Amino acid sequence: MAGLLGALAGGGMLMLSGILFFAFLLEVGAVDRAACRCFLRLTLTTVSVGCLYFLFGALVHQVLRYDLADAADYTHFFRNDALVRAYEGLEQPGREGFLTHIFVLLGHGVGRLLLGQYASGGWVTAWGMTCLALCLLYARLRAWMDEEVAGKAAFMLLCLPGSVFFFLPGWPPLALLLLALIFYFAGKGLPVRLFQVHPVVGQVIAVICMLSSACVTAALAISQVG
Amino acid sequence: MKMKARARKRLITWLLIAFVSLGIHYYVMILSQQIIQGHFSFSGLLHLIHTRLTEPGDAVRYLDIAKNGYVREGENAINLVFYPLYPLLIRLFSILTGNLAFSGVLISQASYAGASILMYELLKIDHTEKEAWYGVLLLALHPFSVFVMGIYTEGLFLLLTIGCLYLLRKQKYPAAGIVGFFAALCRTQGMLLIFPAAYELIVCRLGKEKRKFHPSDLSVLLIPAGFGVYLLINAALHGNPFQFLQYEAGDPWFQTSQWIGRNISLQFLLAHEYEGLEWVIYYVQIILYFLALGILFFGIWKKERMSELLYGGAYLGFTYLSGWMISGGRYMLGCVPLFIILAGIKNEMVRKVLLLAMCLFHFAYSLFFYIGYSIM
Repeated sequence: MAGLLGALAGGGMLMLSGILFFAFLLEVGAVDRAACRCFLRLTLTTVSVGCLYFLFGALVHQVLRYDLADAADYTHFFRNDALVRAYEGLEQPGREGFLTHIFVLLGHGVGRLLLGQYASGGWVTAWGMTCLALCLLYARLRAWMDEEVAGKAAFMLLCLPGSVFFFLPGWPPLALLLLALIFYFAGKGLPVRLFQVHPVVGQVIAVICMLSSACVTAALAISQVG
Repeated sequence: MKMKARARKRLITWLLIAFVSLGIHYYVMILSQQIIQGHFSFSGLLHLIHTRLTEPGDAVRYLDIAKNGYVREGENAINLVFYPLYPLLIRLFSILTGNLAFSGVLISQASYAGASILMYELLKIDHTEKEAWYGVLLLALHPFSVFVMGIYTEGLFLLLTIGCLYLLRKQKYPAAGIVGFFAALCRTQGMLLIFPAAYELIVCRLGKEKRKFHPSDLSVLLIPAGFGVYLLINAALHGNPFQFLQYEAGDPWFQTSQWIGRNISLQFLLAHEYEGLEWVIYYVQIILYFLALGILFFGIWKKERMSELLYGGAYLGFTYLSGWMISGGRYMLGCVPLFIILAGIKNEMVRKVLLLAMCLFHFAYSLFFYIGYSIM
């Protein structure tokens, strides 16, 4: 519980810094106010989705693998070999894969800001990267389609089976961020063809994706995903 | 020609709703089976359907009533607490199918598909097609909607409740009265449909619509009559029309009516006492109560139809009057106005996040149910 409180306090301060930075950019007119509002909304949505995955994982873990010993340790809610390696790397960066190594170096740095809460540092880094990646993707998509469709497309990325990994320490959030950066800077000239689906069909597809994502998340929470 | 095309389009939409509503549940069942056994197998799926949809909890009791009826003596005399409509239908259908359990599942799932279609039609009165579909999806994705697949009254009760509310909105009072009568014969909460019925009648007579009173409108009184028939069955069997209350107060239910505040605090204490059940039963019931309350307040703020809000409030209050409740999650699936209110949310981001939340928690509780946890 103490670890969780520490992470919440440190993470809250980092979030406040980010918001203040945005407010400053807004004040000096460096960013468009409407775009800023969109990014803020998207960030809030991303954080809400992350919280939902976290609560869902906690629920499944607590009910199916009930263990008082790790009930208070939120890093135990999701476990597989790659995550264990990432947590070890966050404590002591060592011999991980290339992308994971870059991630754990960043996460380790953030962990230091959180008074040695390295696992929390990893989580904050992952969530921050995912938020940033979503904003970049959204910004690029908005150039091609209207605001609502772009928002939907960005949101759907968080509902794909396995999206829970974007919110966990490891290479997936970094890979997402790198892809988003490439997409943002190099995607300007892409010959994108949009196809529209009926809103109802879109809802049904979204539900199938979300349920599949729930399945992967549940499997991870009971350590069935290797 | 145009009429024919419209009717055809409507039929296709209905079939699609039925297919999507049931499809979601079968998809979750398949995914759960894979998680439980580590791989997909058809025989494993059939085993899951057989063991989890026809054997646990109340299912055995409904099948016993369908087979032997209510009995005066013996350990099955307490089956009187279960209302007669559903087991009666199982008995009737088994003449065609030759199997009680199969009939029970068939009735539940067909009723649920019908309920989804009626939900769509009810929502279409005040909402767009997209919002109506959203409401249908929310109903399918309620965390405890897994019960509509098995031998429980949820599917049938939803069909009758939504059917009654729909007919009331269409001002077809005699038909609403008949459907409400069966709803009250299906579950206690069914008689609460008298509130929206009375409200709609009064509003239509005295309100803006100024509809002339017709003697057939009084047929809404059939709704409490359904409960009256159940009391008559009690009296005929035991000489006491309220015998079911005595059975409910005894083993294994220990349920008596108490004020909501007392019940909620009792739920909290029980959550601490029964370790491992807190997130399966007790905390969940507390959270659902406050969520439902919040949604109803939101509905008042959004000026939703007062008759539906009345039913929602009456349903919530009545359900949580029950002391030592363990099936609150399942019961709240029948609180139809909540879905109507949520379907009307306009903010796209809130709608999407809500849909994801429903997907996640629906999957979690369905998985717990299929594994065999005490999801009541």
